[in-house]
Amino acid sequence: MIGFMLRRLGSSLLAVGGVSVLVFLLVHVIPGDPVDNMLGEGADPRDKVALRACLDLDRPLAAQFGRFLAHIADGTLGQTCHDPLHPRTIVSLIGEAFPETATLALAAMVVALLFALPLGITAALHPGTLVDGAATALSLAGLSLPTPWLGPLLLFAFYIKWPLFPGPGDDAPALARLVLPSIMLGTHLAAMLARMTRSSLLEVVREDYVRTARAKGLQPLVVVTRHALRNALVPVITVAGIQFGSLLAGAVVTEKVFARPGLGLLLLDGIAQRDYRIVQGCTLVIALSYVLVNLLVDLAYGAVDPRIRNRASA
Amino acid sequence: MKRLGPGPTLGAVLVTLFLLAALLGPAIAPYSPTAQRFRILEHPSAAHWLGTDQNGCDLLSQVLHGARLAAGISLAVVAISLAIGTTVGAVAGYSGGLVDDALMRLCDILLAFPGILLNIALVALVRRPGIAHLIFALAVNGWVGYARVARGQALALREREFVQAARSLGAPAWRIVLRHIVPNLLGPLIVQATAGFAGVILTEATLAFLGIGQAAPYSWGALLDQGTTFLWLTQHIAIAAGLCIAIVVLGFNLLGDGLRDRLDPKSS
Repeated sequence: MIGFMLRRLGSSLLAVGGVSVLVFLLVHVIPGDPVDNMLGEGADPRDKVALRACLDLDRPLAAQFGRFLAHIADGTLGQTCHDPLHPRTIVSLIGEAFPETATLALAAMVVALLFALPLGITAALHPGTLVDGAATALSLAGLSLPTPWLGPLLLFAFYIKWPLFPGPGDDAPALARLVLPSIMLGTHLAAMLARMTRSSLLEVVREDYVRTARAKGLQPLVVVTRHALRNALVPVITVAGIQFGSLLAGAVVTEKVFARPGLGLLLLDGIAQRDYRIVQGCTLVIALSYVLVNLLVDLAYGAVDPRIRNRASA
Repeated sequence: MKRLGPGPTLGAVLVTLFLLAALLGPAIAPYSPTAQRFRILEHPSAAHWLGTDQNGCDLLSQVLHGARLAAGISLAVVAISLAIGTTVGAVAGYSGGLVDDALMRLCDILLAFPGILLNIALVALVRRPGIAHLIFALAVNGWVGYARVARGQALALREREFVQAARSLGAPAWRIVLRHIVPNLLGPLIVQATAGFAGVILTEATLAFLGIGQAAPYSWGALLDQGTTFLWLTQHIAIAAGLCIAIVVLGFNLLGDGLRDRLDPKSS
């Protein structure tokens, strides 16, 4: 187990290193001069010089990377450059936004599991029936709906037509404000997990130990809950965990639709003001959360299922 | 040949309709997609089957031109991703050792990055991203999934007798990869590419919706953005744009499911 943990930790550190380099290089891979991109080509030369200095672009590439790492090491992630009179550290901006996004992603995960598990289990227990067909069609629909469409439709239906839930910027209890956004963000994952639950449970039900449990004369409900589900849900929960990072990233669209001041909106703000530091900071924080969540899920999975540890070492 | 089930058949029909619209759309569109008239945000009528947008442009013509754009972009992204992914995967799987390790670590790093975030960052920071730039941004991480599947297949194929035979006849490595490995790993890759179209169309729509990387004012994502902006006034734009995307994505998903079941009967 210790060997597995060390190996997994090693590959995560490698991913963190790779992600950091990638985020640093973002500014340089993009065609055109970053300062021209930000200010426009006809900008005042003095502004250009000041911005170049603020972004460290007047130094050699190696020195820029050194400054980038130093900003990570001192925990500020650098300062904003779009408003030279009121510079703020990127970390303070992210600190305000992160809880909003994390709450939204958690709520979306709850919504996804609440829809996916009953839907997938019901379908798997009645394979080939009308119920199965309806559940399959529903999850295919969820998988095919464009998320940027779903949010506005939800708002139109449940805020304008039938005002059941508060809209963007309304003064309302936090929980009520969370309902529509978390449905918007969670639907795609719900559809994905429902399909997985169905196929995973269908596979497990064919296993010998389930037949044995049935042959012993156990109630069908007991066989499903105590014997089949326990094993069928392990891969589903794993995927749900891994997808948590994607929810953090997907929050960009949801936060735009519902005007929630989270990481996604901060990222879009940074893009609108062409402030690379904000874009790099948000990207880095989301990507690192993603790596961290993946690591935790894998470690937990390894702890629960010894086969994973052994496969990893093979 | 086993017949396709009802779902995959529907998928094939929807995909065919989409490709027809992309091929013939601009020729049969009743108006220019950018010609403006004084009849803005008009509901569907005999003259404008899907109504008009906020500039008075005919929505049906925009949707038809948008179909060609969606097909073109997704075809380019999938083709580039497939080419890079197959090459990387086949080389990694066949060579093994250090080459395999290095290439797979690169994949791990790209996978450690939530895909949409990388796409957003790559498109957003350019002042005026063109279609080529959009395709580049979507293909940058698009190939990783194909590479992993190709590698898995290549690892297994490497030990097969016909590959061993070619090797003992003295065939050079590039020839073995090109003539014996690649043709035999295409099956699962094509299944993945089918679902890949759905992913590219959704991602492109998302980027356009965020107001970054709109390939044209009549791209489906751009129409979706307009439609949701004017949703409070009129719903026909949002419904047309959203349905187009949803139907095409559904088609590719259904077709992909059917092809996967055909290839791997165990998963059905």
